[in-house]
Amino acid sequence: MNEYVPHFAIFIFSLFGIAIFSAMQRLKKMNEEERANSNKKPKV
Amino acid sequence: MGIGLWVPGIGKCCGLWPLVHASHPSRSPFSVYASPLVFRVCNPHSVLDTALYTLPLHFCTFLVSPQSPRSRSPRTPPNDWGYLSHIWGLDTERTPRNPRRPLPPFDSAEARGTFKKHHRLKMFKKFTLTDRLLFIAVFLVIIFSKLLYLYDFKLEAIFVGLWAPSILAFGIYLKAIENSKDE
Repeated sequence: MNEYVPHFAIFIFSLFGIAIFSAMQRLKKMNEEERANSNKKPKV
Repeated sequence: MGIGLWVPGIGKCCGLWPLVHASHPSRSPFSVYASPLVFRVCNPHSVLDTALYTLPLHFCTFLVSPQSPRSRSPRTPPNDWGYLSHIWGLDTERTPRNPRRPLPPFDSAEARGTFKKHHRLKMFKKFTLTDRLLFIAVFLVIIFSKLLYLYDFKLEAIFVGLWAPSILAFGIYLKAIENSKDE
């Protein structure tokens, strides 16, 4: 069973990579929204 | 299609039951024994309850039910059944499509809100893709680590098991970043 550890590591870290990628996309989207909102505000 | 009609007795108790089911679902042993379970599994509000209560108790229902609730009219669980009445899916009776189920008595756990079935699932509505993936990864890591330990690869089990808190900590870190961006 221990010979499957590298394969399992690849699987888990690919899941981890997808999770990080989606989190980064989400953060990017939030950042863009924040920028758009700050641009919309009228300058006093 | 006709096999189930011709040899229902043989078809139901051997490998031909899918044909019996295809011939008519009401004749099928699958629909007799498994359809409440399938309903609960397919119903998004009862997935957690299915996992927690229904599966271990599904085959022991004769121990707790004094009589079949299917023969009751109207179908109301006795109050002393407690949460075991959930094994027959009676909690899902009062739906917009079937409002006949009477309201629970005022002093019951359901009315008091002690039994918060739907509230428990609200947590999962906030889950994003990231959270789900990390949750699944942690669950798999823990299971695989336990399996390695039981197969006597203890060092590998510790090595794999140490990933779980790291992944969880990373998930918490991402949440913290998101919350700090909201402010």
